[in-house]
Amino acid sequence: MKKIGFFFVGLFLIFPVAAQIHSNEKLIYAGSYFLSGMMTNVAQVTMSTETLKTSKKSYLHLSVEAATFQKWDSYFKIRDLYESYVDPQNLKPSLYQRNIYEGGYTKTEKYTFLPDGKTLKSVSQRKNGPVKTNLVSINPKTLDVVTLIYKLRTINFSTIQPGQSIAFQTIFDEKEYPVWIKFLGKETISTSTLGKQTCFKLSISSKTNKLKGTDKNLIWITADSRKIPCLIEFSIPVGSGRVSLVKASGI
Amino acid sequence: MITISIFFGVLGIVFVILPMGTIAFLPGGIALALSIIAYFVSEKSKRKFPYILIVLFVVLLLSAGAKKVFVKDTVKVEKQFLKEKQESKQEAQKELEDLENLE
Repeated sequence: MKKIGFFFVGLFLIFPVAAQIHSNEKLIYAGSYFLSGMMTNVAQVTMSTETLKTSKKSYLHLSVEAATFQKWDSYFKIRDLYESYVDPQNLKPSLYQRNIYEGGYTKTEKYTFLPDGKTLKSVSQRKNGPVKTNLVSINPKTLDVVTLIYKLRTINFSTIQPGQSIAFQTIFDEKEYPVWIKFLGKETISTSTLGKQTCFKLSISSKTNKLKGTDKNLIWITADSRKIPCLIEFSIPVGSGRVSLVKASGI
Repeated sequence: MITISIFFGVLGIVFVILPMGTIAFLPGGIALALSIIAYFVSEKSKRKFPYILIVLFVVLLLSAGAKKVFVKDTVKVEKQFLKEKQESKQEAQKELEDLENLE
């Protein structure tokens, strides 16, 4: 965004989405945090998909679960659950739910994407707080954070040049944020579960203080039809860390 | 030097007790290195204390290593969390059906 030559493309306008996300996928990651110059494993992150059928429709249930390893539970226990229910064909979200427990702090949040495509109904509650209900005006292309992660796997990278960016709109804590995904090129990385993999290297940036630095929030996605996120490096105001794939099934 | 060595040694013990993984090697290693230096720069008659520290910090590093090897990274399966996940799914199904009725 800061350099000439950056090219923003509305993903949905240019690239028809060929969904590559299947039901019953399970990706397990180890989350590490950079402490005193060394990476320390703190949590397990599980990304999974399954089909949910109602009387009229079928949805893809995307979930991201974060849980601290047992050795950390006595000090700072985390049990976070982020879920999204999307159209299996185009990953358009209908419902997003967030249920977090972080060291005693709790928050639940539910976004219902109303049929007009421009409004979202938000119901949230912080620890011991009142239930708040709001109607939020949104961009019709706005995605929740869970869907956004999965959406990255549907990008056709063969038509994008290194250095090019793709713009998305996401909503978090009832605020819409523009998010830019910059394609940095291909890179071969070693993974514990898939061995050496040639990956698409992407940089994530946003107009928010939740992400720090330029090209310091990176994600490597396998450069094959599976497009599995293998490695994520993040830099946030309170530190930096890494999320590495340790197990993959159903892909 | 012995004081600094003890400081890092205590830090190492704290890190071994806490689930800090390999980080405990850092203060433990510094403490050991300093105590070895202290041992050699001390007069022969005053080497007993640095020697005790060397043994202590070797044990500390072995403990950190053993913890790294034997304590596996596992997540405790909690019935309450599983129940909440199930309830969340049921609630979502109802919410989605209500949403479909609005269309």
